[in-house]
Amino acid sequence: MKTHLLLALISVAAFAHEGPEHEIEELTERMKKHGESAELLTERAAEYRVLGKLAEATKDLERAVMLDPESMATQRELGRVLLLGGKHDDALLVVARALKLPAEDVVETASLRILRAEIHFAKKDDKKALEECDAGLKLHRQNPEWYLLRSEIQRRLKAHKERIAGLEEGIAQTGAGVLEIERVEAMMEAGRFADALKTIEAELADSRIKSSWLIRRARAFLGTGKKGEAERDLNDALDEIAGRLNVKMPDGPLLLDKALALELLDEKREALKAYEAAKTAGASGTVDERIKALRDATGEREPAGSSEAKSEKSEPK
Amino acid sequence: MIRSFLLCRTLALITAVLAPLLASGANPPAPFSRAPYVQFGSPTMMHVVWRTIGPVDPVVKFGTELGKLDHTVRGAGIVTRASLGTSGKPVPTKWEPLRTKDNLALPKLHSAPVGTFQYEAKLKDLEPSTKYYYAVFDGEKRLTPEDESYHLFTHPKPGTQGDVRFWVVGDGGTGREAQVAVHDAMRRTVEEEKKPLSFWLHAGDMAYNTGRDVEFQTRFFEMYDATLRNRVCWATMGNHEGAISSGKTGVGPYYDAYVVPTRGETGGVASGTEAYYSFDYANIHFICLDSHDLSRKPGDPMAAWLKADLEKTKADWIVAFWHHPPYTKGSHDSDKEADLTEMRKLIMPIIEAGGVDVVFTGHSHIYERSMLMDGAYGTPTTSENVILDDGDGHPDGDGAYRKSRGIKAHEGTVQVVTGNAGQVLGRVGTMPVMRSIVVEHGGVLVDVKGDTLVARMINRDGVESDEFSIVKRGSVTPVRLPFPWMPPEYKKPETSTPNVLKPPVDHKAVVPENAEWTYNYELPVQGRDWTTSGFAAEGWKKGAAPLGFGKVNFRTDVRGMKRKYTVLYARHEFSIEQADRITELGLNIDYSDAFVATINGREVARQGVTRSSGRNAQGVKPRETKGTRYFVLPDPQKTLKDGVNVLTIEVHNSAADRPDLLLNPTLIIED
Repeated sequence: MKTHLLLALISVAAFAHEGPEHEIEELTERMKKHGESAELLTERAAEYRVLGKLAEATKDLERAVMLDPESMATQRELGRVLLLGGKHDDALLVVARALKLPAEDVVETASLRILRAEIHFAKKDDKKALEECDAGLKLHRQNPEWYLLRSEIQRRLKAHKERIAGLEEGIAQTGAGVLEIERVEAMMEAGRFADALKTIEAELADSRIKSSWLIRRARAFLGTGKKGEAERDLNDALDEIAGRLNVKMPDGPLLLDKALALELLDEKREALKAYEAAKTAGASGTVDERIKALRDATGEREPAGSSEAKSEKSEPK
Repeated sequence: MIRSFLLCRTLALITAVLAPLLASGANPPAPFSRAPYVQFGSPTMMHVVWRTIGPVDPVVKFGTELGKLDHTVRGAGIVTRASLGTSGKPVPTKWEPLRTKDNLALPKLHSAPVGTFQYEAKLKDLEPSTKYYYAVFDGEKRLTPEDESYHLFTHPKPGTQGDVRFWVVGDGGTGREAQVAVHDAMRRTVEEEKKPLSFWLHAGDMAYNTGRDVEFQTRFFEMYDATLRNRVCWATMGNHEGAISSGKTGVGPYYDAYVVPTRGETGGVASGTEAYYSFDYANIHFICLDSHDLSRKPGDPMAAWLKADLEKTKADWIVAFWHHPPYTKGSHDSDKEADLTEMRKLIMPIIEAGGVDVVFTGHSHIYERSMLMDGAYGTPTTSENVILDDGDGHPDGDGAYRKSRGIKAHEGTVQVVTGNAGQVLGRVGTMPVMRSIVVEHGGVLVDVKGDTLVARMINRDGVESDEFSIVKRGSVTPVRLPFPWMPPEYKKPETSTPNVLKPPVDHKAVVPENAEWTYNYELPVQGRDWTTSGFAAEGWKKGAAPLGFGKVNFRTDVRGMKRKYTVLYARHEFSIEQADRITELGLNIDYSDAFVATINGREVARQGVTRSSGRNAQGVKPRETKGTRYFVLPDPQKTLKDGVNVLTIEVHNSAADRPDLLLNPTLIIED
């Protein structure tokens, strides 16, 4: 089935809609009354996922798959929940099973290949992740997120040339602005600062808020040995950021910009603080890498009580 | 679709007051299966979209005079999508010839009936701020009438200090009377004020229950046809559409329905996806996010795009909209639900650092409107030090909220939850940052003129239930209030009035009032065979509903059972075609004392009978209320089948000496 049919049959409770807990209660009640069905279990799993209850979501989805083993959508959802829960090998098995099912639309197959790429990437098996990502993009070329995933994999593989070419393909296919930003990042990581500068200057001229692009330009200047120009840009960026940050609850992306500017100015301890604050604000990506590098460079230790510190303590030396 | 049915517009539940509104919900005239509507405009461009069953030679003619449509779009200017069945599944014979290589290569429509063709005509090289009339043709044959309502307005040039009016609604797509009333109230208001809409925003949940194609058609396109025809609806996906449409893949009926900018064609940074996008209209920048099924983490694509988009815009105003509210205690609680909490914790900091002025959301079936606020990202939400102005924002009350001219970070945002356009309303508590909490159906009418924005909640009766204004002038230094005004604590009513559910507006009776029933109370009834369509009801009687005795209105007198029998068994067969296109199946029934209903042997409703059925029924209670009640029956696609179906109802009296008995049922469908 039949993805659409299956999902169409999921009867989202329309007339009593009072939050996930209520939905779960109602779905449980319905299953008690009329028996379990793949549809109701899948629906309840979605509510559990909203509440962050991944174990319960997994259990429901596994049961749903047993009841309706032909549903690609349910299997994909199970694979995703397993990935979220860190159960990578189980997730891979589920995706492999799902890929054997007949797909209604090529995008379904593509999204499974991308999910498999994400799982391999989470396992740090970058070569397999890249293979899967390429396979997914070959089937469906219109999703900017998938190009970003491939770029991230290639970044870790240090495949700079392919990374830039892949992003250019993504820009041509989707036009997405985030891919243009990623291309500039890729060019700088590849040492192509002059090329990056062309785009940066154009973006700067077109932006109301300039700090992100000032920092990128500073990095390009540093790459070409223009330290003075870089420092000027970084200080301008920090001034603008200071005017925009909510001191009480600053936003993650802005804190990342601040941290990077400080790091480039060689203010490592302040940069570390900003990265840590960005992480607290929910920033993802390379934050952990930067925090580790700066801790190593400054000799700062993980604050007591953090999960990392706890796991370090509990590990036998 | 149904061989024999009556258009059941006379049900008592639909009052005469609604009669003028019943144009909403009408099926589109042939050959359209989805009437023409406008989409994705800019100062120089607009799309006209429509559907037909079977292909046509699509042509759109347009011009600035109704009688002189002197421009034409055809051929490559029109994108065609088609639903031609899925490999391996049977396709109706008449559509087989359409499964050509060329047709199968067309972009696919998802879950639309086989044989559906969708046409998306791009009208280019238009003049800004100009009214154009349009007509849809099949080759030389005109399909739309020469009617003034088939028109469109192009956007003003970006930056224009115009007079912009837009309407915002959420959670309306029920196909019910409240949705019609809210839509009609808006139309009456703009008519009375002689100031038409520029466009409208939909905050999601426009096609209950699961956003299937048929639900989009019945509960969105047919309900809002009069407005969709000439005003662009810019939409965000709700969780109900998200049941089968995916933001990750951009596939599903939601994505089929809308044409939106993905390459920054009408302002803003290109998103590359239809799941989130932005556009400019005059001096306002609009941002639409997908809060349903995409990551909200900073650094992940949607948040990274949002940041980049906010960095670029040079508009005077920024309005953002998405489905899941960061602050609510309506039918949802933003302190408890991860989707809502994440929008608050991860997205709101970017929004406020980017200088957004107003955020519109839905999901929670209520109207809640905040004070001018900034920085409330914690859980639970508290109001201390996050409110910048605790006045009511009303121009005639405490005065408008004040912000600096232009776009400045963290000078305050007003949050508007407007999930009250049709769905059953609800409230669980009081969100402390809210200045106005109204449990009424309605929508928000927003006027922006130069440096002043005025927003009013217009309820279903056309009455203004809230108003606030923001003025952006000069330079303002925000001050955080340590002890702001607090809304009164919510006390759950001890006796709440139950939400009385009513049938959808566009319903049809498949078992009408006064239908003839086959009934029996004397002959023994064994097992459940009598509930199936093959049952030979030998010796059973026939009579028109209502059936009953005592002090009730009845057509068929069954007083013979008085003091002798407690159960009346009744059955009625009816025919259905295309059961998979039915969006709702409902039983409208007046009864006394209790009943158990089945369709095709499957129990679908029960009232007043605690356990079992027939002569084994236990715990039969006298009915405490009077009148007709409406029950939505579960899983219409599973319950009904193409061909002959049977509805059975056994009516129970709690004792043989009860003074009366009544069975007066109507079975309805919405398709």
